[in-house]
Amino acid sequence: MLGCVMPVFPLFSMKGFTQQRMVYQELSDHHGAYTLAMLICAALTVAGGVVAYYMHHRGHVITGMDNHIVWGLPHVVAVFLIVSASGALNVASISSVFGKNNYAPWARLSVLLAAALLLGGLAIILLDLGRPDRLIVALTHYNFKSVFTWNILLYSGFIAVCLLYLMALLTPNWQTHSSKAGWLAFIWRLLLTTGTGLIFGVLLARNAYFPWLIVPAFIAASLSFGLALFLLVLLWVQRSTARVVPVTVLSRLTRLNAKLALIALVSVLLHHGVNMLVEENRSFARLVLWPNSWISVWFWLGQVLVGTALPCWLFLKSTANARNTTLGAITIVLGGLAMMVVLIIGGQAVPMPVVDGFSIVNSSFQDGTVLSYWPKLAEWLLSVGGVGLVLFLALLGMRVLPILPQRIKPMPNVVKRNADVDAISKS
Amino acid sequence: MSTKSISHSAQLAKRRLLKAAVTGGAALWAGQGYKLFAAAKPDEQPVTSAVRWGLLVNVSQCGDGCDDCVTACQAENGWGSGSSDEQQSNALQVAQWMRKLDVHNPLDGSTFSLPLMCQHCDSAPCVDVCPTGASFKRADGIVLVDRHTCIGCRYCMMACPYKARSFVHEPLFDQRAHQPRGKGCVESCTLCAHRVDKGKQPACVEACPHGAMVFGDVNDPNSEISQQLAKVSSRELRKNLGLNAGVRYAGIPVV
Repeated sequence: MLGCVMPVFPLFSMKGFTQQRMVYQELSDHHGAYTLAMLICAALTVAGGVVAYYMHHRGHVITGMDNHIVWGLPHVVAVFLIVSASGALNVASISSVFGKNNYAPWARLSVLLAAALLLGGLAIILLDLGRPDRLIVALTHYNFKSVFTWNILLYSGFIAVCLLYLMALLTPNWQTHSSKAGWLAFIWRLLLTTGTGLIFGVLLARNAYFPWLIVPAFIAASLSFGLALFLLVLLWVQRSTARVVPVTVLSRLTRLNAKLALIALVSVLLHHGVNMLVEENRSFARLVLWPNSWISVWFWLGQVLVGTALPCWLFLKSTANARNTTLGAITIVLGGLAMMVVLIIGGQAVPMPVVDGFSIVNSSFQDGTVLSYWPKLAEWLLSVGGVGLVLFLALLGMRVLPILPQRIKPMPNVVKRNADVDAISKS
Repeated sequence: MSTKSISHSAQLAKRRLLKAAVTGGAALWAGQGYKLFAAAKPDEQPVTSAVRWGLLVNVSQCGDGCDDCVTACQAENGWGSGSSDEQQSNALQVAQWMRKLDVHNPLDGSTFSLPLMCQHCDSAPCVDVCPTGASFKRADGIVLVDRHTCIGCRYCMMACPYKARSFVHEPLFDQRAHQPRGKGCVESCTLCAHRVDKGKQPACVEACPHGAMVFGDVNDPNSEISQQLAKVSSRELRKNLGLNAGVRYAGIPVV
């Protein structure tokens, strides 16, 4: 059954679409793929919730985290989802802020996914707290010297801005405000990623993080990861609901994603490169760049090869198609997780120079050794539960709100142009 | 001189001796009492910034292989061997309020040993980063965790330059009345604030058999720690971070 159909977006200048008012609609529930996806996501979310409850009961002893690796897989996934929330807004920003109307039909999905990603990431962080029952304390006791506090405000604000933006896009009378809301969201997303990067950047005690270089790396990475996740959702929508995403739009997005992945890698390389020049930070940079530790394997194999080289090759070699786009987006996501593993886990695993100038040869706490970390079932389930929540919220949003454009028919000349492009790429 | 007068003189001498002994003893007791009174503080009276508690560890006197300070801390505060808890946690999950490090000198290849605990920094990073303000610094410089507002985010552990903080990974049952601990909260050396407020020394200082640790008020120029700090060369760990640690180490070779 179709939900209410709302004519809301005039597309007079859109290339590739009929010159008519864009019509949006809810996802219909007769798609088997939708029901199955909802069930899977709900099951994952429930599994994450159950394990969080169990962890609250038993304590973090059931995890692989300890007093060295205090932030583990849940934080890797949570930070990845939070920075991706910023990047998922790319398409909406391109449409509202930069006035590229080709992307306007997908702006609502972009905003919905951004909000869902942030909520999923926050849920993981919240449920991983030692005392998640004290959420009210976190919401009523603020230390404004703490970057964490500022991030609580940034994250809450981001949700509010996304909702406002979505309302502006959804409400016919608010159409004129969508550009302003788009600008607000654009600025807020940059602040959000800056704040998230600074969580690590202000940790002067950790020689893994160079404050003013980790922030740009986070911003670049967020743009890349979020767009990759958006592409995956977009392709699922295309495949499951028989909607057509114009090849030109898909090609531009994949090319953009390849460039962003490359910029993210360059930013990270710059971060590690500058760390090599700073005496006290050199040990971490060496562990990342020299192939002699597990950290370097994650970096070279994970971020460089799988997360950057492979998607760049897939995205830049020819015009986008569903298979290459899916594969490329997945590799960017995997590379993004690898980047987080290197920075978050690797940054804690590297020995801390507690007695500067000397090496520690013996300690009951294994100071002076490169530590290893492997998550246990609890961390896996909590992290996967967070991802399940993201997708559950996104699917629910698509079901109850007119998020998706009604079947979009490309104009004949565009069909012809796309066919030509395909022919050229094949030849 | 008659026997009587000799006896009288002897009695006088005895009396003087007794008087001197009593006076001296009383003076000594009064002095000691004054010192104790100066350090002790009624519970209802807040701590004051006129005092800054500090600890000086003389590494050259610290016994190689000796961990009496760690054991005393465990017994006093009910962690590690001082408690029957934390049986399920692994070696890196159990609390480490204080630990001994064997350190290698790259210049001459020698090693030395030192105890490491919360350094009670003046500009404590853990206090700065705590989102709820659960990590706080008392006016007298002791850095503590308010277990009622700690949400267990572990950001303070990420920020600590000495890895001196521990997270409680499992439920606890065997605790000291003066040192409540709890699952899901972060904790660290309190500089035995409960003892210091009663005019006593921290347990580690009292237990050190080598006299390698001196505790006192670094704001008081007449305190032993201030005089020791004036006399011997000492340093704070990770001085480049500019934290103005309350714990100083003497006897660490210059590299």
